[in-house]
Amino acid sequence: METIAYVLLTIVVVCWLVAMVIGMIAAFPFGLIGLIGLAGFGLLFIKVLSQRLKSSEDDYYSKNVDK
Amino acid sequence: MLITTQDEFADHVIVETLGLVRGNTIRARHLGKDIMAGLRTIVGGEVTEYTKALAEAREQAIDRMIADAKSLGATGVVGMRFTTSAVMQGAAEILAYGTAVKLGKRA
Repeated sequence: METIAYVLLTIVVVCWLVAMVIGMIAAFPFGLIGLIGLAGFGLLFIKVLSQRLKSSEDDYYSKNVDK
Repeated sequence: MLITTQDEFADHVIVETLGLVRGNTIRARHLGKDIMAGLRTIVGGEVTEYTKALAEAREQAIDRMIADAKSLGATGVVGMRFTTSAVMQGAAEILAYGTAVKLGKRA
């Protein structure tokens, strides 16, 4: 149930982001400001996500420590 | 590595005091767990997401303190304490600290 909720929320977020990007492209050239900002956030998010996926220390504590 | 919250061990003597050791971490759960934790405040009961997050943080802080103690050549830590502080919403620092010592068997 939790996984299904995460999938649904992810779909909503992706749709929202796509709509935002389309809106920013339609608002060219002023939409460039938002696109560049979004790209910046996107790069930071990718960096954080890749660090988390590579972190075996975080995986160890997540999997082995219960309440 | 023997760890105690007391100032000494019942069955060991302190033969050398090495100094302060500490380990800390700041952990957060992912956004989905934060949303669930927020929903739990509506229905009440244990917020298991944050219980687990703080348990993970305590273990990691202790492990780092042990690593710090081992780097000094310690065999024990006395006077061990935890302290915590909120850093941002959904994330807290856990600091474990104590005094690293070398232990000998009590006669």
